[in-house]
Amino acid sequence: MSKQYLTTHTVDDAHITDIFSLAATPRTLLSASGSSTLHVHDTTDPSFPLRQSIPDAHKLGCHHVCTSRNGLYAASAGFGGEVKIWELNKETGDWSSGGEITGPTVKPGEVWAIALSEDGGYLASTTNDGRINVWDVADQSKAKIREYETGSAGSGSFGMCVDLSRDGKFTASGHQNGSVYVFNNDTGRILYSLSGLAKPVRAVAISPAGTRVAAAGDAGIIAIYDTKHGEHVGNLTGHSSWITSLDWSDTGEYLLSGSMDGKVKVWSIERSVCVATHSETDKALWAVRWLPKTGRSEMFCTAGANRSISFYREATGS
Amino acid sequence: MTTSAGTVVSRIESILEAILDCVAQGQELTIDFVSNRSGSGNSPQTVRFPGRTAVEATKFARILLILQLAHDALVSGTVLTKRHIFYQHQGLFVRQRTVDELVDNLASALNVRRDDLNIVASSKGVFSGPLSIRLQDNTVIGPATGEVGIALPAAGSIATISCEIIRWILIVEKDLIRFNCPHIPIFVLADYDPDGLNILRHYRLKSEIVSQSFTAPAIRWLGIKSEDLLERESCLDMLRIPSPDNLQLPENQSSRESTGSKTSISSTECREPISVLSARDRNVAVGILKKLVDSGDDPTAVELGRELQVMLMMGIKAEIQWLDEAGNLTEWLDTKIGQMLLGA
Repeated sequence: MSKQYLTTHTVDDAHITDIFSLAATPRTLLSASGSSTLHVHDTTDPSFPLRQSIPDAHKLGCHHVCTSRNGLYAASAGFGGEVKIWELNKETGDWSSGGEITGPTVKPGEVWAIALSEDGGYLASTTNDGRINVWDVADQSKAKIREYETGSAGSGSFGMCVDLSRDGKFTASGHQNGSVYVFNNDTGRILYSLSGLAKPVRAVAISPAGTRVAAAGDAGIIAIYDTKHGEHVGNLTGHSSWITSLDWSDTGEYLLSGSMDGKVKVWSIERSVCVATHSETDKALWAVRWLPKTGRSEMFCTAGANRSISFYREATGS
Repeated sequence: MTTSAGTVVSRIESILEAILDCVAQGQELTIDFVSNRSGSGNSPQTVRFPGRTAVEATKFARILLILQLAHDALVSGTVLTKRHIFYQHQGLFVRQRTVDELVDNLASALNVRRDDLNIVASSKGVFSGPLSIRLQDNTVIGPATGEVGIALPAAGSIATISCEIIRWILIVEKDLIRFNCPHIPIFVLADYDPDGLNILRHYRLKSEIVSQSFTAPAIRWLGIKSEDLLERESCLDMLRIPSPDNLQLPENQSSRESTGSKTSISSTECREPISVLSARDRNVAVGILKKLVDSGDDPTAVELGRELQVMLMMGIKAEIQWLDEAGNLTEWLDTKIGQMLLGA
C-alpha cells in the first residue's frame, strides 16, 4: 500500500542561492546555502516563517548543517573549512554562537560532512583523505578525541557523509570510492568495512534503534546493512539519479531519500518498497529531512538547487 | 631545420614495423628511445615490453600511444596539442608532465623537432577562421579556413591582427590571451574544473587581462557550466530559438536526434567516465571562492561562486571532451553561440 503525502507549503527563495543542507529540531528547521547566512524556520507555524537569520556565519557559504537530537545544539561547516557550533537559548528560542572548532586540523579539506551526537556533546566530521574525526564540543577547548583512518594514513578516499547512532555507540561514514565504514566509538576501532555500492556514497544514516545502516549515492541504490554482523540485508532500488540525502523516520519504519533529479522518495523498510515519490522540481535536491512528529501527521521537507524549501504532510483521514 | 611530414611518417612507421615483427616472432617488444635526464643531455635507452618492471611496461605503452597519435596527425594533416594527447588516456599518463617529457624525448629519438610531429604545446594554441595576422617581418599568417587550425605565433612577433570581418570569437580554454578587438563578442569555452573557472574569473573580473578599450563583460561564458552536465534535457529544449511566434513549437524530434541527446552526468544511465575532484582541485576551488567573495556582488562573481560550490558538492569535474563524447560538440557550440548572439 502506498502512502499519500501532500505539499503543504513551499518557502520560495528561502535562500538567495542553492540550499545545500537542512537540519531539524522539534520546533525549527535550519537551512544552509551557498550564501553566508544560516536561516532558522519556525516549523510550528503552517506558513513556516523565518524565525531567525544568522548573518556572516560562513563567508564562503555553508555546505553542511546538523543538529543534536535534543534540539539544543547545531553545527555548521563552511566552504572555507570552518566549523561553528550553535546553541539554543531555551528561554528566547534564539540560536547564538557556541564557539568554533579551531586548530591545525581545521582547514579547507579537513572538514566536509558533519554529525552531532544526541546530546550535542560530540561532533563527527569527515576529511578529504578519508579520516573521520570526533570532537568533544561540549568542552570549552573542543578538542579532537578520536581520529579514525580509512585506508593507509593520509590516503583514504574523500569522506562524503557521516552519521552518529543515537546511543552514541557507532559512527558510520560513506566515501567517494564507494566504501562505507562503521566504527565502534567505545573501542575506537573500525567495526565493519562495507562494500557493495562501488560508486561515491553521498549519504549514510544509522536507524533510530541503531540496528541498521542505510547508505546511498551515485549508484542510485540504497543499501541496507545490519550493525550486529555487518551484513548486507537489502537494497532499495528505484532512483535513477545520484542519491544525495537519506533520513530515517523517528520510528525507523520509513526511510526518506532525495536525488539529483529532484525526486524525493519514501521507503517502507519492512516491505523494502518505495511507498511514495514526489518532485516539486527537476533540479537537484541536496537535502531531505523528516520533521520530528509533533502533530497528528508525519511531515518531511526538501531543498536544493531551486533555492526553495518544500514541506510535505502525510494525507490522513481515509 | 624542418623535417618533411613524409620523412617523419616513415620513421614512425619503421618503428611500428619493428614492433610488429617482434610480435610476429613472439619476441619482447622494444622501442629505441632516448631519456633526457636533467643536465646530462640525451642518452640512448631501449624501452621494452613487458620489460623488467611495470614502470617500463607503462612507459612502452605511453610511447606507443604517442607514436600512433603523432602518426595519425601527420597523415591527416592535423595538429595535436600535448594536452589533447593527455586526454586521450588520462589513466595511462596520469600527469600532463609525463606527456610533455615523452613528446620531447620522442622528438629527440626521431631526430626531429617537436613541431615536425604535428604536436604543439597547448599554451601556444591554434586559431581557425577568417583572421589574418601580420608579423613584425611583414609575413602574413592566415586566414585559416580549412579544418586544420594554424598555430598562433608568439605574441611578441605579431604586428597587427586584421579582424574587420569577424563577427565573434570563440576561445577554447586553456590559457589566458590578451585581446584588443573591441566590439566583437568573445565567447569562452573552458573545462568544468577549478582551473577552467579561474580562467573565466580572470577574463571577467580582472581588468588587467584585457586592454582598457575593452570592457570585460563583452567576454561571455559559453560553458561548461553545471547545468550543461546536469540538465541535458532542458539544454535541448533551449535549442528552439526563442521568438514570439514559436512559443508553442511542437516537440522538435529531428533537432533532438541530431544533437545526440546525452544523459545528465548525475543519471544512473550515464556511462561516461567521470573524474572526481582531487585534494588539489578542492583547495584551488576554495582559493578562488575566497577571491570571488572579495569581488562583491558582481553578477559574474556570484555565478562563478555558485558553480564552484556546486562543483565541490558534486565532487566531480568534466573536461570539454566530456561534451564531445557523443561527437556533438560542434552542434552544441552552434546552438549555444547562436542563442547568445540572438539573445543578448
